[in-house]
Amino acid sequence: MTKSVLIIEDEPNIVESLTFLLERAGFVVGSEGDGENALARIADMKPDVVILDVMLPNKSGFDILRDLRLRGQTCPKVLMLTAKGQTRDQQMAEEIGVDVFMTKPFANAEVVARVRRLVLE
Amino acid sequence: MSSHLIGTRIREARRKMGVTQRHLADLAGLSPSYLNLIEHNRRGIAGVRLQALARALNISPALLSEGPERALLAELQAIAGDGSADASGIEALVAQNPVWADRIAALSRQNRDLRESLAVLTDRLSNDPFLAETLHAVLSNVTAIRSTAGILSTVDDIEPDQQRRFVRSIHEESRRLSDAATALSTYLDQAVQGKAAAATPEEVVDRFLQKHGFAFAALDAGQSVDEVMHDAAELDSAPAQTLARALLERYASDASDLPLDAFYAAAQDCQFDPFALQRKFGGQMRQIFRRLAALRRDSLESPRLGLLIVKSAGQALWRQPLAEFALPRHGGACTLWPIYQAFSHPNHATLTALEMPDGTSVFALSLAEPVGPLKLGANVDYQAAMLLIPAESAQGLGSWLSEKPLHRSVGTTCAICPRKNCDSRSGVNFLARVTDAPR
Repeated sequence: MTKSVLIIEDEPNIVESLTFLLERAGFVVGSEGDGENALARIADMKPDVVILDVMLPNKSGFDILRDLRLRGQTCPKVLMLTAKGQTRDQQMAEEIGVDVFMTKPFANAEVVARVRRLVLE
Repeated sequence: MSSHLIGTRIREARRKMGVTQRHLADLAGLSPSYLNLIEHNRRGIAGVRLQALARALNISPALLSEGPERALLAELQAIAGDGSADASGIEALVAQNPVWADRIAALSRQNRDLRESLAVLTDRLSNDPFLAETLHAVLSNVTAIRSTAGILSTVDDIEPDQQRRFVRSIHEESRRLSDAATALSTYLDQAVQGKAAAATPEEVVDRFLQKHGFAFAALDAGQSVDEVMHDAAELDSAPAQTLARALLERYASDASDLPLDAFYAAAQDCQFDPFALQRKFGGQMRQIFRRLAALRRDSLESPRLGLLIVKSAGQALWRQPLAEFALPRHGGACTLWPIYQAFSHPNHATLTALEMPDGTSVFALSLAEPVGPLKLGANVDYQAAMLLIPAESAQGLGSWLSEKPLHRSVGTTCAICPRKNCDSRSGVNFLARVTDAPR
């Protein structure tokens, strides 16, 4: 069965390159650029993996992840991809329940490999 | 040069300013003939007239009455710091090698300025919203470029339309990256020159306080906080106005409790001894500290003091730095400062001689006191205050400063502290990274 990935990211050029990479790797890919719509989009698409930016318009990635985990859901798996790579941000993300934390700029092959690993877990 | 040559100094200062005797006499409210006699050292001058002339010449009365040599001696004594240097040796240096003495003092001033700039920039690197946003934008641009370029260089079978979009994406992101880098460069350049726009309400208020020299003559004269706020166009945001209003209201309250004239007279009588002043006026010591620090103005003969007041959580309520002793805005100060130990012994005052990494010595009088009345079963909040007295000012103060102080080697903030083997060090040290970098 084909696995799906939702990219929640407000930089269209990053969304385009990630979409290209993940589609070539065989995933169904969707995207959302507004933090406020993220939870509704996740509920609608039911992706296996969410790639989540931190600094988003209207609602931060931390708040989205917190709301997601407060609902008691361990799915989807969340890969947080952020320019905020400070230790305290990573600790906060781990406390909230992130599955993978990666910092920008990223290596294309590593993102794809991490997503593959998450869908296999 | 002794005090009887005061007229010569006035004449030199007037010529340097490029004004005539008549013009200066008008500015200072003296008759031209009287000024002429003063300038030729045929009449003495002191007190109100000296202060009026100094104001007109835009220099300190001390520089006129004591001369540049005295100021230079005081500066060199402050550099010597701990009193280990022989006073006659310093005087001999000034007398025999005035150029070198001047250079040493200039280098020391430059060192202090650089240290202060470094503290400001370090503070900004951690907390400035403009820098945070711009660096975030730069990382996003680089991410898009790296990812897209990676695809173009490793994938051969890209559809032509998709390929064109990727190329356009690289073009757009590289242009944004260029804009962000230019903005960042301009901003850092301005920050180094001290021109950068205030980034936070705290910074706006800091500049407002600095502009007024941490003293508000209008409030001391009975004007209202509203009147002072009305003239403060630089307080251009609601948070800055709220912060400034709270500080000004406390200043006005202090001015009402401890009126300037009476407090200044009492302070002079006891050689600015805060304990004697508290015995006379009552109240809490941190209020006495605030009033003492507010005496730091050109029109008064008072010691140059700094003051830090913090809440138990570390938030600074009043930051009045000295050139020798920078006070970080957003916390992260040296944990060895006695103000932090004061919380463990409330109402217990300690006098500490602090030695900065460059050898500068500053006395710190610290204590923590409860805030508000005690209530049965309720938690007590504390504030700690640290009055800072530079070594040069300490020389003119009374016996209260010669009580055996504790001695402690401290820094400003770990990020820029050059001390090695400090058990209290935490976080990243920028200096270590610079000096340890491979060459």
